[in-house]
Formats: sequence, C-alpha cells, structure tokens
Amino acid sequence: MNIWGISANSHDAAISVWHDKELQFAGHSERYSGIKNDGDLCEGIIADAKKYGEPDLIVWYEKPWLKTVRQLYAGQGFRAKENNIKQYLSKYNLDKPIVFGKHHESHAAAGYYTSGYKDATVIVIDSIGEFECLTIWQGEGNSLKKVYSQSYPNSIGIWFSAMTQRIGLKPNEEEYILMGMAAYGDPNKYKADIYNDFFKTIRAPEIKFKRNLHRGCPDWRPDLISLQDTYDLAAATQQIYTEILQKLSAWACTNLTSKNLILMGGCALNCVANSEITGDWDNVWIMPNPGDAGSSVGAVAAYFGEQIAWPGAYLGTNMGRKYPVEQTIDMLKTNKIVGVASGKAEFGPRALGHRSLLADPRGPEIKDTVNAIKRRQQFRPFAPAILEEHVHDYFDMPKNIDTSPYMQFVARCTKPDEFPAIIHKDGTSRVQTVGKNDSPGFRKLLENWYSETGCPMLLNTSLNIKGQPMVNNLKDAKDFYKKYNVPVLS
Amino acid sequence: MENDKQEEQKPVVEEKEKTDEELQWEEQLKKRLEELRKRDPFIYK
Repeated sequence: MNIWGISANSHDAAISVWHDKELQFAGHSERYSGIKNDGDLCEGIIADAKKYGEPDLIVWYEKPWLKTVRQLYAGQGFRAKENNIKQYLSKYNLDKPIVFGKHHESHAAAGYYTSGYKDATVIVIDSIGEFECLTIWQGEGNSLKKVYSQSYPNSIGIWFSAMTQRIGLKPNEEEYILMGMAAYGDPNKYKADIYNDFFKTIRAPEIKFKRNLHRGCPDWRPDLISLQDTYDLAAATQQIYTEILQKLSAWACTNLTSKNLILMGGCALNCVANSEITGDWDNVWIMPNPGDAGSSVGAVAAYFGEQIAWPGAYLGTNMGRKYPVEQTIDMLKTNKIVGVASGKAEFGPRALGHRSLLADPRGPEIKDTVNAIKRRQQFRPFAPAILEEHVHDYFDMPKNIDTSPYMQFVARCTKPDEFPAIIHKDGTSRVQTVGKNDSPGFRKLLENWYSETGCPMLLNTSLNIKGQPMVNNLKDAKDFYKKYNVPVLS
Repeated sequence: MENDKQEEQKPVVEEKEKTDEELQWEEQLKKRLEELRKRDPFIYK
C-alpha cells in the first residue's frame, strides 16, 4: 500500500511517500516551484512523488475544519472553501481517500516515531495550526500522550514572528536572521520592556501573553528604528526565547519521567536556544525538519502510531551520480570554493552536503568571498561540516551532545583564529558533524580532504541563488553556475 | 538651582555619525512599519 503524507495550503508545502511503512521520499514543494517557502503543491513535486507509485491513501497533516473555526475566531473570516482539502487536492488530480491528522500531533509524531527512543518527553512549540501553539507529550513504547496544551492566541511562535516582523524581517521565514542578528546586540537593553509589554504569565508550562500578536506589533516602540536598536531588540527576543525554553525544559524534566527530550515545531530550529537546554537531558532528538514540512512525515507516522525506521535526511529529488569526491577536492585546492549537487536532496532547511556550496574554511578572506557570491548580509555566519571524530578537537559541544548531523546546535570554536569564516560574532558555530553512518559520499569527501590537508572540516552553506530555494536538480545547478560563475559538480 | 547644577554636570555624549548602511536600514524599517500599520495583516493563515 502506498501512502502519501501531505502538508500544504499554508506555508512550506511538502509530500512524504511511504510504501508499507517504509519512508521512501520526502520533498519540499519550493524546490520544484522555485518559490521560497511555497505553501502550495506543484506539478514537479507530485511527478517526483509519483515515481514511487500512485497513492492509495493521503494523510493530511491537520484538521481543516478546526482550522476554519480558529480562523473565524481570530477574525480572519470564514474560509471553509479555502480549507476544503478534497477540492484542493483535486486541483492536482489527487482524488484519493483522505485521513486527517492534528497539527501538533503530526509534529509530535514526526519527532517521537523517528527518534528510536523507547520513551521520551516531546515539546512542540510553533506559531499556530488549528488552535494549539504549545504542547507537551509523553511517549512510551508506541503510545504518545499529550500532557499539556496551550492554545491560541498564547503563542510563543507568533510572538517570535511578530518580533521578527517588528525589526523589519519577513515573519515566518526570516526568524533565523533575527537569531543571527542577536549576537550583535545587547540583550538586556530592551528585555524588561518586552517582558513587561507582551508577557502576562511565565510560569512553566504556562506562557501567556498580554496581547494577541497575530497581526504583529508594528506599532510597538516606534522610536526604536536604528540598526543598533534592531540588533538590541533581536538580542532581547532571542534571550527571552532561550529563557522560556529553559523554563519549559526544566518543568518537563522535573515533572515527567523520561530523560530523553524531543523538540519539534518551527521553534525547534532555534539552534542557539536548543544548545542551552541539552544539559537537562541524557539525549536530545530533533527531527531534521521539525516545522510544518516535516509534518508530512509526522502525519503518516501518527497514522501508523509506531516507531519507523528513520532513513536519514536525504529523502528528496535523486540526482543519482556518484559523489564527486576527487573533483571537489581538486576544485577546493585551486578555486577554494565549489558547489556540489549530488544524490538525494536534503529534506529540511539545511544543506548537508548534497546541495551545498563548499569552501576551504581556513584563512581570513574566505568569508567575504563566499558572502560576495551569496550576496547576503555580512553579519551572517557560515557553518562548518566536520568529521564527527574530530569535533571535540575544535569545538566545545553543548552538554551531552556528541554529534550534530543536522546542524541543530551551536558550539564554541576552540581555535577561532584558524577558522574565522565559520565563526559567528559570539564565537560559536552551527556545527554539522559527519559520521560513518551519514552520507557516504560527503563523508568520503571530508576524509580525503583531511588526509590531503590535515583539516577535518569544510565550510558548508546552502547552494541557492539569493532569494530562491536550494538547488534541486541539474537544471538548477546549471542556473547557479550561469548566475555566479561558480562551478557545481554533480 | 541644585537641579540646574546637575544638568550642567551631565557628560555630553557625542552622537556618532550614522553610516550609509545604518541610514538606509532606518529608512527601510520606517517604511515597512508604516505599511504594516496601514495594512494590519495577519502573520499566519
């Protein structure tokens, strides 16, 4: 039996394809349509998914009628027609039986049933689905039970997005830029103002707000508009989010039995805050696509209600071809920078070596060179991909974290002078560790790079044209070369 | 009188001249916030 999990009709549309409980494919619509964070399905992803067979059943990631009620309650109008999923899927000729999951349950299941843990505490923090914005779950065996729920409009995710918008960034897309900007600001300058003006109760697990921020807060403190104000607001926002996460983690650790934590929901992409709570737990798992796109996997996992064999994050478009190890090393030695598009695309927001722009991380000039190609803000750092066994030689990893294959934590670099390109203003790096069980091609590349240069890491950033999603296929790779004159090997 | 004296003793903080990048940022942020106030949009569907 073929089952498709679908999350769409909102933001970050995605499809997962399963055959007899085996996850065979998972991809983002944006990579096919070329529209960043595309909320709708498109022909390209459906054609790719159909290579694994027609679906017999579709599992939708949330309950559309419950969402309709919430939208009505929120003042967004009666949107039943827009939320008619049968009709929505019919536009794409997907006239199949549909089962509906629940938004937060899909998040929780995506985390728990891919974790391999026998028991776990699952914390889901996002902006909004139907009504729920924060839930805490207890997983034991195949059972996944909700133990706490907080509903709209008390949403940590909406508050974080409102602050993102308030500092001039795009909400629901550029929250990671706020996180990067935070290192340039003083977190204490406006922290008390933000706490006082927005938060009513912070008594974990209850986090309540004084005002509904669903429409943002563009009217808040209109006097704060300078670039330094922006940095200070970003720093305060990031600091407050970290403090909230610490409180939730401490509560869950004290009140629930498991020592394994799973973090899910869009807020689980906050690698800076994630790194501050790892000491509470023996193990931490964050599925590499913890936002709504990952719920295309989670909806089906919840439908099965049992642990699945997690195949890793390389689940998207398959370009085939052998990983170009030797050519990449030759190019790195001569050009210092090269793109690689090979094998299956990453499912999730991070390039993990299969759709990556790679560079020699040594030396002072490389950051500016890569920034010039990517045409992005100077304050944004690049990340290192390092052979797993060498990570402790160069980085102080967060407590109880030895590996970080999906770039979900930050770590302080212990040799910052040698690798200025991969270190942020605060001295940390968002590390990707590459182990023997991760991508064999990328692992081989790092092994050979190390044996030839003595350097066990490469600078790794996503292979994409500015403002566009990551490269998906050969045509995209050629377009990247035409645009930036940087060769892409595949 | 006492207050006047205190006023006089306050250190004068010279405001640093803003760079083009900083001025451009301010201008853009002002515009964006004004637009948002007019449109009053929801952040999420």
